[in-house]
Amino acid sequence: MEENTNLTAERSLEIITEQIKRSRKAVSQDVGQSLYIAGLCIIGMAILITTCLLLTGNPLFYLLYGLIPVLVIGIDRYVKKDKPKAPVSLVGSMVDKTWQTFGIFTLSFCVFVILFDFFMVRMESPEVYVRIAIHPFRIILLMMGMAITITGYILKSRWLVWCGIIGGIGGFIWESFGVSNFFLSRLFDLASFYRYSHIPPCIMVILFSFIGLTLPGLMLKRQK
Amino acid sequence: MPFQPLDPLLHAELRLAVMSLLISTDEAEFPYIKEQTGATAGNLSVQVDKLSAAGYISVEKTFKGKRPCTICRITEKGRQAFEAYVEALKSYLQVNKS
Repeated sequence: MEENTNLTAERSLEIITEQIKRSRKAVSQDVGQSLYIAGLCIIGMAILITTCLLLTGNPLFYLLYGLIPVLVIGIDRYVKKDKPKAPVSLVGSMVDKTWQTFGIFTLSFCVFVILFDFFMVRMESPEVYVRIAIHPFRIILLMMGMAITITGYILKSRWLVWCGIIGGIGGFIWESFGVSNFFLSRLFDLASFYRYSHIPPCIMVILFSFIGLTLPGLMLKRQK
Repeated sequence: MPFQPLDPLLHAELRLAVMSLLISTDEAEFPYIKEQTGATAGNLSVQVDKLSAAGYISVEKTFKGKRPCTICRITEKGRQAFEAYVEALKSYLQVNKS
């Protein structure tokens, strides 16, 4: 772009429109990259945790999910290290705030669930515990779906909105109705059912992360 | 309808592009502006200096790790000038339409 001062009104307007669009696109691609990395990290972590659970049966491995934010932030920074930083804009800030809110709510909720289930399993009888135990996955899936949908609205990305809605509500319904357990119970006997009961949440996390994070992230990254 | 005068400082392709980029952002780094406008570093630097001298943008020279980093921000004066430029542009576009 040279220093051309002989501009028509139409050309001036074209430049303004084009640059504002470019700015929005740069923010979208930056967010897309982060979503893509987040999706891959969650998928990797879900596979790792399930493998550990299958090998040891120790539910403490679920706590490894808490490392995901650190992993995502670290890899995201490393990948974007040599690239020009996307501008600080209202759109970018709104997306950041949406995911910060999701992070605060999810972490608080997880801590509450861990403490609640930890005490209830000791205080109540197994019959009562089975009824009152909180299964956090469906709520996390729903909250993540909401965050993705809001991000899609902010970035005006229809793909992201639909991926968020389908992933969030679909995941919530799937988990609420115990669809995975339904199929698992028909495939295996009781002993094997308990042994493999860690697999369905992992499959849900992988599926949801792919639909809700990796796929839209890839689309945002590659948008023209 | 009389034509409103167009700010000569903004009525240049690259300076207008820089201002248009900055108007929708809080701040942007020099390499980002260079990438988005497709300008050469030297030319962009000259235009950024002109906008900075007019008080339309503020330029902060800092470090990102060990590397120098130039951050540009639009000022209130720049925002007003840009809005006035767009308003003036409208009068030309309305004449062109009719």
